[in-house]
Amino acid sequence: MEEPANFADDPAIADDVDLWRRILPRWVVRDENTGELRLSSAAFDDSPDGSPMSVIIEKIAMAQQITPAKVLSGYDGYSLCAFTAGAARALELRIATRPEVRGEPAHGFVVGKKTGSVKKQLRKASRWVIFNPPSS
Amino acid sequence: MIDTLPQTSSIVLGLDIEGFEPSDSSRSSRRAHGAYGSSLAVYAGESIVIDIPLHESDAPAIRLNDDFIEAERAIAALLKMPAGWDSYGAKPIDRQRAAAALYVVWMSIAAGAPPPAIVPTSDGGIQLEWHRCGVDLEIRAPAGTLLEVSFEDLESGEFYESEMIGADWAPLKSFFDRVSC
Repeated sequence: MEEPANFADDPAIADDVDLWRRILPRWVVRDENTGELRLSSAAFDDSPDGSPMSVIIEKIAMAQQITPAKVLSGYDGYSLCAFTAGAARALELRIATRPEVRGEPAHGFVVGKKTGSVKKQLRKASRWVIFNPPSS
Repeated sequence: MIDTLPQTSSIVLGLDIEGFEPSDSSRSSRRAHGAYGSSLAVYAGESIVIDIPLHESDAPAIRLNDDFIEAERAIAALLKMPAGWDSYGAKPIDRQRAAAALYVVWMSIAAGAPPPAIVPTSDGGIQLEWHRCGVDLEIRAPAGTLLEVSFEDLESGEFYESEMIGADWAPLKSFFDRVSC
């Protein structure tokens, strides 16, 4: 497996490009401060196999007619959130395109240490692209 | 002898320091709550057990309220999730970390806090979250007796992030107070 330290930031991914991440229902929690459902910061972990956090790069996806709905195809109940590459870079994270990974042509990695604070900031920077409220 | 006094859907256990027996034989055999020695054993599903130390002030009765039982069920359900449950290669939830999370839930409820949101993490852990009283509190059990605590006061901007190592999690009480408005 490629070492995350070797993943360079891809300058072809501009700061305003959206990065999509699938959100399973268990990562949606009730925020009693706002009365609304919100993302958990647990949605922004690296993979347990040591590879960085996976995302779909919107610019590449749309060029290949991969819509948000297609990204969620086969993932019943999941939602899709987005944050910009610039928001990630502001947290000293890098954006790496790795289309060969996971069979997703628009696949990318968000590389760098995800402390609790970083995950909270990613959560705050995120918005819903498709939101499916959890059933319970 | 253990005196079991079901109250609607809650359970009250009388404490006898001499012995142990399941407190409620009418419940599923997968779950038993009982007191023995100077501690309370809680069995969640078939796979995790937590042992809660009791103090004199807890006697003669310990209430396992609906919130705790609900949390126990939620964590037992997480333990059944297969590898890859998050679509990104997540590990199955680790039993020891689940037990640690359940213990923290117990501590929070005993401290008068409302129950947390129980969130699985891709690395096989569980994150407990409270978002209320103008604060965000997140507690994660990454391994053994290690806890990661993240606290933010949304009005003042006060932010605290730290690791707690060891068996003494009493300092968590101050955080539970902040979500108990």
